[in-house]
Amino acid sequence: MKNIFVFLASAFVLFCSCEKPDTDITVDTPKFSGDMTVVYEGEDFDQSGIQVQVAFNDEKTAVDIKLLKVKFVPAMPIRIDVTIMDVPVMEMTDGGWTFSADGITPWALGGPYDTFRVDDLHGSLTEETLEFSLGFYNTKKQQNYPTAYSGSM
Amino acid sequence: MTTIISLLLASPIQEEELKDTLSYSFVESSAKQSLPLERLASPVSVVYLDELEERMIDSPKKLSAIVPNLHIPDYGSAMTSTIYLRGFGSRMENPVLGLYVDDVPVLNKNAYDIDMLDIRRADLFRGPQGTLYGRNSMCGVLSLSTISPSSYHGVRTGVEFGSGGLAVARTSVFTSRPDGLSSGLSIGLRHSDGFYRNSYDGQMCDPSESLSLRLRLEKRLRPDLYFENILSAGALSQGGWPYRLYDPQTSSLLETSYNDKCAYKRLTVTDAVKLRLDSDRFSLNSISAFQLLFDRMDMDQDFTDRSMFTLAQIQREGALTQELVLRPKEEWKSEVWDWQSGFFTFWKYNRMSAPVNFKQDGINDLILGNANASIPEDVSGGLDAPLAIRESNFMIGSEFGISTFGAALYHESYFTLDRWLLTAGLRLDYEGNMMNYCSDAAVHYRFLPTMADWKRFETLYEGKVSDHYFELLPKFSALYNIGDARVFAVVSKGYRSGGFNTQIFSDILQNMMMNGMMADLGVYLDDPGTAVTADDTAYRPEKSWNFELGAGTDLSRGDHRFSGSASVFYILCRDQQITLFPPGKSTGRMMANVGRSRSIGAEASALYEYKGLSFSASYGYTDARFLSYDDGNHDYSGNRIPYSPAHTLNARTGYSFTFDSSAVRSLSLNADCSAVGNIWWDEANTLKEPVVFQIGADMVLDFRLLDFRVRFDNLLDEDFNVFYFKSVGNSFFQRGKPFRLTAGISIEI
Repeated sequence: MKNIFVFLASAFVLFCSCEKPDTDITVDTPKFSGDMTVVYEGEDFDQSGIQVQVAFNDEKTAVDIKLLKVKFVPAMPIRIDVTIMDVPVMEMTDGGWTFSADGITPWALGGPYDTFRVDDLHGSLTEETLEFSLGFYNTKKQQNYPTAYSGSM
Repeated sequence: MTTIISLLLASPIQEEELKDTLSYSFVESSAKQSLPLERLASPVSVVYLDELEERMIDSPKKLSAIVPNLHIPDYGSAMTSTIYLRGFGSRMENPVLGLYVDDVPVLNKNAYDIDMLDIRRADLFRGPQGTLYGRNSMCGVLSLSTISPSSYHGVRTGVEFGSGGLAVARTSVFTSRPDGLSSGLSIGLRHSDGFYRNSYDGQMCDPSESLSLRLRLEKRLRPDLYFENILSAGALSQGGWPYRLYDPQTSSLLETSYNDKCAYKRLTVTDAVKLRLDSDRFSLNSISAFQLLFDRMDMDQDFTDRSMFTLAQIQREGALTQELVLRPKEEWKSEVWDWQSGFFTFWKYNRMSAPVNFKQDGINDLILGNANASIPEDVSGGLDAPLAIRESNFMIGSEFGISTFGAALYHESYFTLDRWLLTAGLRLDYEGNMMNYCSDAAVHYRFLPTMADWKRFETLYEGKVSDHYFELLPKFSALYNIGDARVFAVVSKGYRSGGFNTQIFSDILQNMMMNGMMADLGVYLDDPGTAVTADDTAYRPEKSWNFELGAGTDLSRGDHRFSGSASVFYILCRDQQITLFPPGKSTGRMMANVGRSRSIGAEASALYEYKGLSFSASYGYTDARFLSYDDGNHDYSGNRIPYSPAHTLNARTGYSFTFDSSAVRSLSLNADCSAVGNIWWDEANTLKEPVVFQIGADMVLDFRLLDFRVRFDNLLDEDFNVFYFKSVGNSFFQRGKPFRLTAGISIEI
């Protein structure tokens, strides 16, 4: 727990031989657990207990963020894992990290999932907490699903 | 082999009076039945060799209805020995009826459908026989006794030809040497072209070839020690499973049409060594046996002309049994008290391989269909089948090693008090089961909207499960003699063993593979349902208490002879084992202990003979219902237990003309009628087979040197169903066999 960043880094080293598009996240990567809210048709769709894994790249210049078993709309009959890869990070003076990105095609269902695009991603990461907001943009329906997440170890 | 031939060529000892045992046995047939039949407080049906041959009963299945409340439907193949008795039974796993051949229990139900070659008599003890026979005698025991070479000497040979391309040849030689060694060798060959045609390829579904062999040696080794060795072997190769798809649109049955191989091959070998030690104080019977069963079943499991999935099940089973029966003689018993005690143990090991081969239609419908149906359009990229498997067929391998051990101690005491005979018995059974399992599959899959390449996905499921239990089986009975008649009451407990559902492992692996692939993709169903695991595959023993009242009589006045019996029973059954089909388009089936049930019924049988005239009838009625059975989706409490008939009837009459001729000795003409029904095909009792009557007739013309026999079955060519089931969401029936004519010649020297 204390050495999450060390662990995340070592996890990256262990799996750096994996070719892209494989993510550096494994089943052993520690998980944050928290609440996620998706704004759907003007109303908040709240989900609790959503787990998120984060893994740094070797240079600690970017992270992969994997949202586990999430839904974007209440009527969705399945849950899916979604990975937002290569999100640039910046280390803060207090030891935490901030990250932001725009226009990323997330990975889901075994490959780049271009039905959605991640826009306007902003967040912060510490050893204990993870917070971010983003917009999942459905490229086919041309609808945006503003999403916010707040979790802890 | 040389020894065998020399034994057979030795001069037979002529003892003409011993031949009577073939038509009306008086020789004690079982080491376990110390009481004569007329003193048993339990209904018994006995069929002797003459009637077996007149009616051409060559398989236990043909005893259906002749024995009240016994129903062994003839469907599937020889491995399908589904037995229903007094309302209970099941299609799979352990039977409710124990089968003993010369006191040796047949441990695998796949070997129940034997060729009844030279069976001297068949005794069917109805009602739980738990105290003496233990496991799987919950509703009764069928005890077959073969012709003993110490009782009968001579040569018996014969041929038969009949409908369905039937051709049978059999020869038996029974002889004794001056040194006291008696030997009997029986060989039977059977061929049938079959009765059902597969419209897919125009070939017959159920051709059959079989060979049966028995070598029986007997000798008194010492004045107090008698030895028997009975070696039996059987080889069988046949087709089968002529199931017809029910078309709900037209409410009709389609022709049998399957595109993959359906076949069954079986090799059985049993050797039994029986020793009887007699002293002034006791007699001790030892029955040791080993049994081997090798069989292979190939089955088009969807029973349609689509390429969905096939099963190739191979079993290699070895078993050892040992029984000791101790009975007192004069010094150890009194006029009031008689008894017998016994010990039984067995061990068997079954190495089973049951790979399921999924073909293209099966992959699309069963594996991918469910998965793709649950993927929403937003995710599927607009494709109907976004998830794909590269292989056009793949195998789900399943290997099992099942070890079963059992041991039992039992005792029965018989108290004779004036006209009363009171019996009290108790048996303690232990049984332990252990199963190693390993199922695996590997496929390449691809989610078309997102994945550029195929990805290999392996599923492995292996482990070990075990189960064990004790059963205490008491019995109390009272029999009161009133001259030629008797009345009796009996309370007894029986059970049939528990075990493991090997058939469901293919389903388990299918679910694991589908869910595993979805999880590998990062897709999870909201309601994945309840997954069956190996821990769920063990099922417990089924237990029953039987309460019965009955009466019987044997009258003989001049040339008139009458015997009859009747009884009423109430059976309470707990942990009933029922075959369930998992919901949806699943491929498996499994046995589950589903609750409580009861059966109320009555049985009656009568035989009247006057000179050449004979009339016999037997009738059984059963009202068997679930007392509590809720499968989670439906409550079936109060419904009829499926597959077991409410009525069984058999009536037979005949006349034997005797001729004072040097060429022809007698002509025997018989006609019979049997009826079975109603049968409810499902737990919901929505499908029912009505009572079906079948007429039969036979004729035996007895020449001095040979007999000429003709037998007609299903004379009116009744059309009826013998089986129903659902698979992969489809309903199937099998039709009963049509009109059949069999004619044969037999010679006894």
